Amino acid sequence: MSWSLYSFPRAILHIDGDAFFASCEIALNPKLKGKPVVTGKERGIASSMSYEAKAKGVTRGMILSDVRKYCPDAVILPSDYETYSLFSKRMYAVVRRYTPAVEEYSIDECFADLTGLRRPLRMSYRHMAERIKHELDSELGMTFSVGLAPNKVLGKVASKWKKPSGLTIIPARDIEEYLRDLPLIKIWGIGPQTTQFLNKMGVATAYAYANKPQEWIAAHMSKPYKEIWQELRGEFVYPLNLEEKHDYQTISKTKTFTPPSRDPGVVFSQLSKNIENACIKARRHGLAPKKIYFFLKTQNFDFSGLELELTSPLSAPHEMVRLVRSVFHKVFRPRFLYRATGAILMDLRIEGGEQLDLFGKVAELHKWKPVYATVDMLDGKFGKHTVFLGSTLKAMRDSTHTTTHNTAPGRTQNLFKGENSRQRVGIPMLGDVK
Amino acid sequence: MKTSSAQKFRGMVEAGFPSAAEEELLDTMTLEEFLIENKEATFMLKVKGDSMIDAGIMEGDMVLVERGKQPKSGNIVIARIDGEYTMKYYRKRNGKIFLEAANKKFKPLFPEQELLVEAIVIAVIRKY
Repeated sequence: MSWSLYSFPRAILHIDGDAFFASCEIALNPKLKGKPVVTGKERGIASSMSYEAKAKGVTRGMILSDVRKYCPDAVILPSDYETYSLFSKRMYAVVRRYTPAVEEYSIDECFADLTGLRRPLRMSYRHMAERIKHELDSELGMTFSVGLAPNKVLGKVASKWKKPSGLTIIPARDIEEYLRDLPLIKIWGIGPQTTQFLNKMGVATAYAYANKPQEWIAAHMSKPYKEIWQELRGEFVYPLNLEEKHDYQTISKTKTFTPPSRDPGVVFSQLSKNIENACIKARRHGLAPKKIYFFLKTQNFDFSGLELELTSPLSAPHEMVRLVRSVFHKVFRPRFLYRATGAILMDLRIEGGEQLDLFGKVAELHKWKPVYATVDMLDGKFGKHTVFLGSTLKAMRDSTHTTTHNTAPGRTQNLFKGENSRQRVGIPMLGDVK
Repeated sequence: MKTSSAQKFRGMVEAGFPSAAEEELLDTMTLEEFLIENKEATFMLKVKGDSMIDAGIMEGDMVLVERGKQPKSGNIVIARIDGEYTMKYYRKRNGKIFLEAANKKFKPLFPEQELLVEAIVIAVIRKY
């Protein structure tokens, strides 16, 4: 049976950068083409990998020592979020040449609503999708997978249908063909728990789910899954969120220190200093993270780290240090010799946009604003770290705290006259040319 | 009409000299707009060596390039040869494509298999 008579009651495009971070690196450096490229060196885990690396078994989140085991010839690079963000912005901008209705879903994905543009643009939806893909591929120097469907859930099915560099079009009439053998876990918004539950109920494929009668859905599933059910049947339920996003940016501070240490006090102090530095940068840009990740690196280049989710965005280092201290023992192992620590602020928001909470925590943090404004002013006048936290004291006093050059992105080390380590021209750099 | 009486009073506002700048500025562009035509397709590189010195391109210069454009004979292009970027004149003579330096010390490069043009040079910037 067919759920719709029309091909595109709505025309929603989903665009997904193939192995995005790794592809950005390859777009900048042609020597990497055809090689297994892995990013995430600064975190000790693979954050993205080229298809060549994927073929050898490298997966997202894999520890780098394992990456080297599976793929000894892997080119492992530090993540260069500045460059990835530039590419990301360009992706959105290319799509906006065709429609203003673009949802910046994540750094490497976006949705676009093309509904109603056939007449003004004088082309079919397929033609628009092809043109957008061609412009993205040729102008950004990497490939994108594109899906066109009547809604977001099916748009995602379409863009994943053929990867890398696919272009898949699912008109409402043909939805069943695509869903027939598709496992539920492949559907956006359906996780392992729900898949297991549905499997137990005898529903194994997206098609079987979409074919369940409305009464069954109402009796067994909560609202989000009812919406997914509707979208699988070709209805348009999820609107596009057209606000500009910032949360894909991250701020990271990583330092190696000598001599290496087993002393938790010394290691924590180094971490505290990184957190302070990251917060200084966040405050300079008026941003506050919702998540923080910290890690310790041993003499043998083993990494261990932990991600913390904050109840509200925060750029006050003393509060962040307090949170990290409460879980530090889970990461620090006494027998190991540590040589570096790092702090990464993620899911950044514009500071001041946070909601007040019931217990007054946010209001209390607001009181610190003038304090840090003064700290920043003093640092500006008398040099960095004129004022610092007590927890950072050890790091300030005894060890040399050097930047780990091997984990800093190449761009920060190849500057033009007039650029500095803080600010560079906002155009992706292809490197040197003879 | 109500609006017309309101308009009469606008003449009373003392504004000093009219600012000539505002209207005139509509017809200006920023340096960025002047240099860059297609923002999303524009990348930069840093020049090493002196192979394009006679074209006025020196070591350390910033070159702006545009991806996704068809090269024409006489363009300065960024081409890929053996996995390396090289910046040369793109030449087409008697149906044959080759790369030419702007420096007599360098011989023209005839591609053995294929020549991949990655981008076309659209500007050179040097800061003193």
